[in-house]
Amino acid sequence: MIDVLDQSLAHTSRWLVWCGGILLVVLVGITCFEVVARAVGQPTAWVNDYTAYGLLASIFLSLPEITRRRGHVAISFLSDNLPDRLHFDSIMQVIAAISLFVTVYLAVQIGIDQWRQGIETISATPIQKVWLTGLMCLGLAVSGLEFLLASVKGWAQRGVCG
Amino acid sequence: MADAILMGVAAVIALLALGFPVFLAFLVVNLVLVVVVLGPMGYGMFVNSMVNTASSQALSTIPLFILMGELIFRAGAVEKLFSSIQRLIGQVRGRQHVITMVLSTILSALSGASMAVAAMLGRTVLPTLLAGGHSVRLSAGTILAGASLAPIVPPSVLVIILGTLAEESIAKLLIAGVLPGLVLAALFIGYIVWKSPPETESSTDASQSPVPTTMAAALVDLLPLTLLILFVLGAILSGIATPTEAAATGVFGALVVCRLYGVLNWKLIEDATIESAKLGSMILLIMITSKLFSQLLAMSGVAGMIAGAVTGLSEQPYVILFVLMAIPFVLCMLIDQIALLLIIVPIYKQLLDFLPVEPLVFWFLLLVNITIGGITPPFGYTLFALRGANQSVSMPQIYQAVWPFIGIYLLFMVLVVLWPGLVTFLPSWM
Repeated sequence: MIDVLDQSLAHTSRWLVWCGGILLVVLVGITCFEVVARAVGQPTAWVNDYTAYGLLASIFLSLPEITRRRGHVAISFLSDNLPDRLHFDSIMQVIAAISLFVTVYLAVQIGIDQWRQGIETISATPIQKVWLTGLMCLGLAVSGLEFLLASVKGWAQRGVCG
Repeated sequence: MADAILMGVAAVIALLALGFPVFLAFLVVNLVLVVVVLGPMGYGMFVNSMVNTASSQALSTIPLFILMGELIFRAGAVEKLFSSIQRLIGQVRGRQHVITMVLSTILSALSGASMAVAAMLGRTVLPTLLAGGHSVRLSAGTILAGASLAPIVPPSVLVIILGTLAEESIAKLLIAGVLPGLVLAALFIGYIVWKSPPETESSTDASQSPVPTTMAAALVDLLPLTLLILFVLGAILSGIATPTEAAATGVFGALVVCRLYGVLNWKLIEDATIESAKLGSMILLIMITSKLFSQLLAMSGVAGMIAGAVTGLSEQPYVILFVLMAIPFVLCMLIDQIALLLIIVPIYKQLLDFLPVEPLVFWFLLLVNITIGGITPPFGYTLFALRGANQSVSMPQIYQAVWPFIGIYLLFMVLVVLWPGLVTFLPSWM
């Protein structure tokens, strides 16, 4: 059961980080387009705004893969020397998962309000803000699942070792 | 509220010390503060703060500059640069270390992160230096000092974060690093020449006197990267492009360099892009989760209280400046550089009027200070990046190696205070 979940999450995270990477390429493309457009006296109004939206999407879509690869920045000098490091990591991962799920819960509530009230971004080319909040929720939720799975795997490993 | 925020600061530091990921430390404390102190009214503020920070257009410069560096390094630029500089630099005391320092400086202009440069040089150049019988201390120290130029010489990830937080012109802060980066490199080379007795040079070094034909070939090899650096810096300095636009066109230029080196393929683009997306996300996530914390710090009056306490210590602007620089110097030994910036910049913004230097110079001094933190024992990140890249050098050896260069960095900070023109000269043209 855990293996199936692990593989599904691995595929999802990999697919999401791919999308994050593609968005980065799109950012390069549209920003270069803006430079050229301005050079020929036809600056666009949308590039800056869509660069910002694309950045948000790229950040949160890449997040689950970072979590899977344990790529987050941490100062681990103290925890590295703990006698039961695996146990500590599992607890920390549970706290991380809970924090991310609570954040997603709050963001979903705010997102529903944004959708109902039709709140848009404050920019030259506004979009419904719920899209941005939704993308954030997606990245945080999958990342929360990654933390949770890592913790379960840690407990399972500890059980086997013990 | 002020008490809760102060407890929040202590909690963030405690969680960081316990090994929690930096973004998580801020997220946990933010959640507790929002739920306990602000209540349901704060939920919208919490979520919107994350969404608004993540969709800040200025921050898109960070993953784009990272992508530019990734493409160049995957194109084998380090080896090409090393080979070209070898052919260009003639007989000089400490030749191999001088070459390493020149290489570090150029790499710093292609990469915004000191850890990346330290790891690259630790894998590629350090084994060569050690195999040649060169001093471990001088070799490791040279690499660490050179790698630490990355946050100072543009493009720099830390500068973009600092500029965003301090609401200072990112373009000016980026350009301000050019001259100091060159001066620091010159100071380091001076130290290397001074500390290298002539007899340490191997016979192979002496035989490598540059001849015009090989020098010309080396210059041709260097040309694509030199043009790319000049193009990116020139675009920002001339005002033709914003830092984000310079970064995007820099990525395009990096693709051209890959093509010229004959290594451009889909696999290289895919690997570089995904790695940049992950690295950019990792850095920006810290900013996203800590933004609300910084806002609460400013709103609660704690920032003002701390600022008042600092100004209460003395009326002498230079004393205040010294205290403001001493705090991050010590804290950087224990806390992540970006996390520290996020905590102290909102406080320091309130003290700009009490300082003997203009804001641009002050923020630049803070940047150098934070940079030193990356190589200051015992917990400087860059030290561990070098150790991770080359296990043949022990941590005590690395600690010993880096202190003389930290001394040079501190001396340089004094020079900047005495001659702020070092920092303001180039930005004054913009």
